[in-house]
Amino acid sequence: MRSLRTTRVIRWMSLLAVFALVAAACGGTTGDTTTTAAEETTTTEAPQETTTTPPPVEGDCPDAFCVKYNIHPDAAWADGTPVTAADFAFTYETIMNDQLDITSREGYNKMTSYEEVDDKTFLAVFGELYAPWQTLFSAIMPKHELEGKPFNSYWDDLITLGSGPFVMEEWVKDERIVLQRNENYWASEVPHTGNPLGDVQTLNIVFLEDSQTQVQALRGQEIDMFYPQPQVSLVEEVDAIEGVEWEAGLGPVWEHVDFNHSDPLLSQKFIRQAIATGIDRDAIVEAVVRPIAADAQPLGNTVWLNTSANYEDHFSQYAYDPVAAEAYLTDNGCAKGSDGIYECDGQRLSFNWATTAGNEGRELQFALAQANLAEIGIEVNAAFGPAAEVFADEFIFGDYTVWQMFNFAWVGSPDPSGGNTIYYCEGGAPSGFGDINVTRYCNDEMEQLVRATDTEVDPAARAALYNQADAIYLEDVATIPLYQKPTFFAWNAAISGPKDNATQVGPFWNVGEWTGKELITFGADQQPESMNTFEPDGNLFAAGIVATAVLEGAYTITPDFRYVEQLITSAEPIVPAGG
Amino acid sequence: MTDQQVRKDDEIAEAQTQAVIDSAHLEGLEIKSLTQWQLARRKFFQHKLAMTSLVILLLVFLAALFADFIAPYDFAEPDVPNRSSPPTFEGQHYFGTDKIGRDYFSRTLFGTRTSVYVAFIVASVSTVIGVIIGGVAGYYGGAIDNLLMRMTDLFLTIPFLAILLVLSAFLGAGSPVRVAFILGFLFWTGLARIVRGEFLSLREKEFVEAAKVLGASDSRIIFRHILPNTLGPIIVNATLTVAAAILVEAALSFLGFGVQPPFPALGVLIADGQDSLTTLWWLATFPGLTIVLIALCINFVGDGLRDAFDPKQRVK
Amino acid sequence: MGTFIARRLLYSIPVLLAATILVFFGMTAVTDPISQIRLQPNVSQQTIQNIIDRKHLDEPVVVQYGFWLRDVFFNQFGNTALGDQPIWPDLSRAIGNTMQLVFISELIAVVLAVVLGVFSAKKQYSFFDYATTTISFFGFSVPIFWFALILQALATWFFLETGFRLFYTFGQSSFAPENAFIDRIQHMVLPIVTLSYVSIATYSRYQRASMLEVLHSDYVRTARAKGVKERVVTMKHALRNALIPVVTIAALSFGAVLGGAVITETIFAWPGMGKFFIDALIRGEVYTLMAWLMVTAVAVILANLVADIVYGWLDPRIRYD
Repeated sequence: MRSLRTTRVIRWMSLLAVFALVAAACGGTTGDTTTTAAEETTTTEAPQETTTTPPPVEGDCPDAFCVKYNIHPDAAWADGTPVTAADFAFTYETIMNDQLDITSREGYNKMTSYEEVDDKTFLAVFGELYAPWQTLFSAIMPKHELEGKPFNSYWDDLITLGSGPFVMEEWVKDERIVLQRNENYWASEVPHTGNPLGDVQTLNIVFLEDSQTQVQALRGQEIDMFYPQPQVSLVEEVDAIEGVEWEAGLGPVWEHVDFNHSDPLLSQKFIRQAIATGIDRDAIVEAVVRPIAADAQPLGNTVWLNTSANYEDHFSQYAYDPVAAEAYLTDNGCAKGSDGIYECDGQRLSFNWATTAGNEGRELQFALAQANLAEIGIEVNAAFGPAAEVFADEFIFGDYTVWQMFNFAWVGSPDPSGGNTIYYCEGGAPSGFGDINVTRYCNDEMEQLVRATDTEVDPAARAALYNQADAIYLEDVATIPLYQKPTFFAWNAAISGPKDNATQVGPFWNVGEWTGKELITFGADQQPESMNTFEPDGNLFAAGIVATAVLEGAYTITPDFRYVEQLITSAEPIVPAGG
Repeated sequence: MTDQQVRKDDEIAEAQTQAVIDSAHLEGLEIKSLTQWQLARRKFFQHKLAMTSLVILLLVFLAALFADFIAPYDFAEPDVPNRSSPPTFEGQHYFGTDKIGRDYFSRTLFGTRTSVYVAFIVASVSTVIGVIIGGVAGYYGGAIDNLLMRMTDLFLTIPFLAILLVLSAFLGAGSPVRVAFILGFLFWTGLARIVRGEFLSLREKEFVEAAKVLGASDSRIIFRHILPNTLGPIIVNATLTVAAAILVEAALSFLGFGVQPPFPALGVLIADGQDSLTTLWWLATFPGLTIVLIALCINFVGDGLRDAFDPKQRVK
Repeated sequence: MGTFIARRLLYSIPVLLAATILVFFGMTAVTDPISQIRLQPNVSQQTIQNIIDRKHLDEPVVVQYGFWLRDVFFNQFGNTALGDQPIWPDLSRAIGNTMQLVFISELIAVVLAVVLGVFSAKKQYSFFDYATTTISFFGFSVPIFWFALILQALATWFFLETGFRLFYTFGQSSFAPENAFIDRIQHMVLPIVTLSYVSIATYSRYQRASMLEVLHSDYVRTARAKGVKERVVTMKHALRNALIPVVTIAALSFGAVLGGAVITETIFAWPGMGKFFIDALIRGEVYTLMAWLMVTAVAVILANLVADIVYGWLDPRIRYD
C-alpha cells in the first residue's frame, strides 16, 4: 500500500507528453533471491531498431520544413465518417487554441501553418527543422464531432467518438469505464501490427488502488489483468498465481542521482568521481530492478536508454570500486576525520540526499548507497519529502543550500528531444539554466552538440551527436545515471495477445487483436478525473488506457520503441528544394 | 466471589475511603492519596492478566531500549546477496531479512523503539494538554468551561485521521518526533472531557472548600488537592493512548504518510512488507505481531489500572 | 421536540462557522492550491493564472475565505482548482456510498455491542465475559488494515476452493450482474465486517461498564428488592439507562468512524468518502479536501443531535424545552 502515494497523477499517459518529471515514480522494486521462476518468464525487450524515422526529401514546402501525412484511404470514425485532413487540421487548431488548457503544445508550436492538400493528405509546415516530428499527431480528434462544442468539458466524461478498435460506452463514476468493440472499425486488421482483429467484445475497467487488493483480485479472478507499479514482491506474488501470465519491460523512464553543481564541494570533479565510483550501482539494479527485469543493467547514458539501439555506455569508467573511490579523495588532499568521514579543505564530506518519500525503490537505493558511501568515508543523509515538496520549483531548482544530491526519474519518450534542456546553460528554469536543467551543470561544448540535434534530421547523425554530448556529460559526472525503470503487466492466461508496451502508449497498444475472452476486466490503479487526455486533468493512467483503445494517431509506438503508422499509410518529411 | 462478599468488600472499601478522607482533612491530604495508591497497587497486583501483560510489556520495552546491545546487526546495513531470506537461526536472522538484506530482527527491535518513543511522546503531550484544558474548564466552569468545551467539540467534528493525513501530506511526514507531536496535539480531546468531569465534581468537595477557606491559591488547589485525586483516570487514559498511538502510526504508515524511512518504525516495517504478504510473509508478520502484542498488553494493563483505581470495581 | 431540534440546529451554526474557519485557515497554513498545481507536469503559466483569477488567490487570505465561504454555502462547495470541475456531484456520490456502509455497520455494531455488553455484565467474570473481553481487546489491538487483508484472503480462498463467489473483495458492483441487490450485498459484506469490528470492540466495553454500574446502583437494587423479575430489571430498568453512554460514544465516534472508513474503503476499493479523501489528497486538490472536511463536520454535528434526541427517548427525565 506504500504505492498509494506513488500511483499518483504522474503515472501518466498523456499521449502528448514528451518529457516530464516523475513526481512519484513508478517503481519501487526489490527482490528475492529465488528468482528462477522470474527469469523464465521475464521477457525484457531486447534492443531493437529504435528509429524508423525516414530522412527528409527535397520537395514542395512553403517554409523551412514540412511533413506530408498520407492518411489511410479507409480510415474512418466509428460513425462511418472518413478521417480526413480536416481532422488533422482541427487537432492542430485545438491544441494551439490558447483559450484551452492543453497539457503540452511541444512541437505544434514549431508549426507555422498547414495545408489540407486533399481529403486524405495533410501538410504540416514548420518554421525550422524539427527532427522529432513523429511525436506529433499521436491522437487525432474528430472535427465533425467536436467542432462548436466546448472542448474543455465535452470529453470530460466520455470520449464520444474515435477511430479505434473500441468505443467508449459509459463511465459509471466510481465503478467502471466500459468499452465495447467498435463494430464499424475501419481496418480489417490491426493497422500497426498487421495482426487479425480479436474477439474481445467488452473491456471493463475498474479502479482499485491498493496493490495487495489488486493481486488478491487477480488471484480470485475478479480482474483479468492489471498494470501495476512494478514492485518486485508483487512480481513474485503474481508469478505464484496459476493461470496468469506476466511480462516486464523497460520503459522510457530512468532513475538518476543528480549533483547540485552550485555546491562548493560537489562542483569539484574528483568528489563527484569518488561518489560515483563509491556507489555499487549493480547492487542497486540487482536488488531493485532485476527481480522484475532479469537482464536489466545499470544505465550508462542519459539520452539513449539501455533498450535503445543507439545506447552506448558512457559511465563504465566509474564502475564500483571503493578503493579507487577513496583514492580520488586522498589524491586530492582530503583526510579522514575522527568520525571516519573525509574532510576536504576542512569541509566534511556530508551531503543531503533528496528524493520523494513513500517510494520503496528510492528508499532502498538510498539505503544501499548510504551504506556504500559510509564505507568510503562519505556521509549522505536522507532528505525525503513528499513529491509536492521536492518537485516544487523552489526546491528542485534550488541551489546547494536546498539540495545537494537528488534522486528522481525523468520520463522520456522514444525520441529524446524533450530532454534537451537538461543540458542547456541558459533557459526558462527559475535558476536561469535550461528549462529542466536542475543540476546547474553547464558545458558549452556539450550544449552546442545537443542544440545541433534539433535540426539534424539524419537519424544516425543525430544519434551520434547526442552520444558525443552524453559522453562529455557523464565523463564529467554531471549526474549518476542509475537504471531504466521496468514496467509490469499481468493478465489471465485465457487471453492471448497482450504484450507489455513500456512506452507511454501502455498495455492497450494492441488491444484490437486480443482474443480468448469476451469480457475483460482491467484493474486500474486510479479513476481518472477527466477523460480528456489533451488537458492537464486528464493525465491519469486510466484515461490514457481508454484513449489508447478509442483514439488513434498518425503514429503509435510499439514495445520496441518504434513509431509505426496507425491512421496514415506514410508520412514524408520534406525540406524545400534547394534549401 | 459471591455477590454478597462483593457488596461487603464494597462497604469496607467505602468505609476505608471515608476514613481516609476524614483524616486527610486533618493532615493535609498526603495520607489520603498515599493510601489510595496503596489500595490501587494492591488491587492491580492481584489482577493476574494485567500483571502478566505488564511484565511482557516491560520486557518488550527493555528490549527496544537496549536494542543497540541486543540487535545482532546494524538496522541499516544492507546485504544484497542475503536479501529476502526467510527467518533462520543461521546468521542470526531470526525474523529473516528484507528486500536488500537488512536484518529484520534488528529492524523490528529498532522499529519498536521508534514506535514506543513516538507513543510515549504522544501520550505525554496529549496528557499535558488534556489535563490543562480539562482541568481549567472543570475548575473555573462557567464561560471558560463553555469556551474550552466548545473548542473540544470543534476538534471532534473533524476526524483526527483526516487532519493527520492532511498535515503529513502537505508538511511531509518527517521525523518521528514531528509525527509524535502532531498526534499529541490531536489526541487530547477525550482526556480533556474526562478530567473536566472529575474536576467539576471534585471542586465541590469539602476538602477543596476547606483549602479555599484556608486561602490556598488556585494553582495550589489544582495541583496539590484536585489533580492527585484524578490521577487514576489520567493514568488509564495515558496508558491506552500509548496503544492507540502505536496503531495510528501503523495506519498512517500503511497509507504512506507515517514516520519517514530510514527510521524504522513498526508501521513503516509493516508497510514495507505489505506488498509481499504471501512471498515475503515475515516482513509484515513480525512487526505486525509486535504491534498486536504491545497493544493487547497495554489494553490489559489499562483495564487492570481502571479496575484498580475504581473503588466500585473489585479485583477478582 | 420540534423547537428543541430547531434550537439545536441554531446552536450548530456557530460551531459550523468555527469549523469553516478552522478548515480554511488550517488548510491555508499548511499548503496552497497553486503549489499543488505546480507539481503537475506541463501546466502552463496561463492555466495557473486562470486558477488564480478564478479562486481570487491574489487577494488577502481573509477575502479568499469570504469567496470560499460563498462557494460553500451558495455554490455547493464550488469547483476544483485545476480541472474547474464541480466538487459536489462526486462528493455527494461518495457520501451516499459511505453512508450505506457506515449506517449498516454502525447499526450492526451498536446492536451487537449492546447484546455482548449486557451479557458480559450480567455474567461478569464468566467464560463468556472473558471471551468477549479478549475478542474486543483484539479489536483495539489489531491494525484494521491487517484485519481487512485477512478477510480478503479468506474470501479469495473460499472462491478458489469451492468455485463459488460468496463475497467480492473490492468495488461495489459487478459488470452487468444478474441480481443487482444480491450483487451489492456480496460486495458490502467484507467492508461492513471490517468497519463494525472495531466499533463493536469499543462500544461493547462501554456497554459492559455502564451496565455493571447500573446493575449495582441503588434503584436497581430497589427494583430487585421490590421483587421485580430479574429479566425485567435487566431489560427495562438497567438497559435503558445503560444505553446512554453507548449512544454518546457512538455519536462522538461518528467522526472517527468516517476517518476509519479511509482505510477500509481504500483496501476494498469502495468508492466512498474515505477513498474520495485519499484521492483528493494525492492530487493535492485543496478545495475538494476542504469540502470533505466540512461535510464530515456537518455529519458529526448531526450525529450529536441525533444522540441528544435518543437520550430523551431513553431517559424520560431529560426534557426538551
